[in-house]
Amino acid sequence: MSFELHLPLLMLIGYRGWKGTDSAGIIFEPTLDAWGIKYYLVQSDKDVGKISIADKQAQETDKPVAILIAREEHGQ
Amino acid sequence: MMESFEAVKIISEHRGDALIVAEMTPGAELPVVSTKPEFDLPFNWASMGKGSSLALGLALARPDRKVFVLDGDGSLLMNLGSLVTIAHMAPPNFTHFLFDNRVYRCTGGQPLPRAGRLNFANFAREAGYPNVYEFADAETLEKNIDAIINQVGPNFVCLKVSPALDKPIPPFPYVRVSDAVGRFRAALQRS
Repeated sequence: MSFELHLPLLMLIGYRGWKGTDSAGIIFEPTLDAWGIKYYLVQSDKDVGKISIADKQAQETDKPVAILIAREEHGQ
Repeated sequence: MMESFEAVKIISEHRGDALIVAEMTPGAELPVVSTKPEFDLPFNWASMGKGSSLALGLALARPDRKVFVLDGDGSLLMNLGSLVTIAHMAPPNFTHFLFDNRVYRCTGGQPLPRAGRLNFANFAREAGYPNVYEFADAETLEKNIDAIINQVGPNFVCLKVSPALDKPIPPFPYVRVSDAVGRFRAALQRS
């Protein structure tokens, strides 16, 4: 729907299975790639600036952009 | 039972300046009768049940306008959680019209799971919609619609419509939502 409507949609997505700890983690990024959706990984406070970058990109391109929220301790 | 087209016509005639997101069969029918096409987002067959979520966003973003979604029962089954989100956010300007035809008409009329045994009005009531109605004929819809859309919502109106499987889907003027959205945005910016 976001593509069809040219919606600048910022998606905040919890990254289950980060680093491939389950099948969701294995297929997640390739799925976004298949859709041509840009994404940014946010793991800690130092990454929060990426959210503004992603939002700006969504607004400028009228497309969905994803923020993948991964907890630091996951997958380690 | 009423025809979907009759219900769409009544809603369109009583809309005032409401914004309308319409899915599936009503999405194809709305452009034929719309009194305010610039304020319509008609998804003919392409929204996979997300019309109710999109309409919720519009209602929250534009509290100064009434917002309607013309939803399908098959569509709502794909996005049933939106009932709870809508009831939780409780936009007072939101009316959810559900076209209950008990089939997936656009893919050939396959029956919905538990077709005819689902009570969508009860789903909405349990989700927390304060105002819930069920109408099986056009006259009753027409008699009640003004009071419903002018009260504090969110409102849910289940419309029992014919599956119309004996009729071909008419050659509606096909409006691509990607074309309609530019007109819609411009109209919203002006008003």
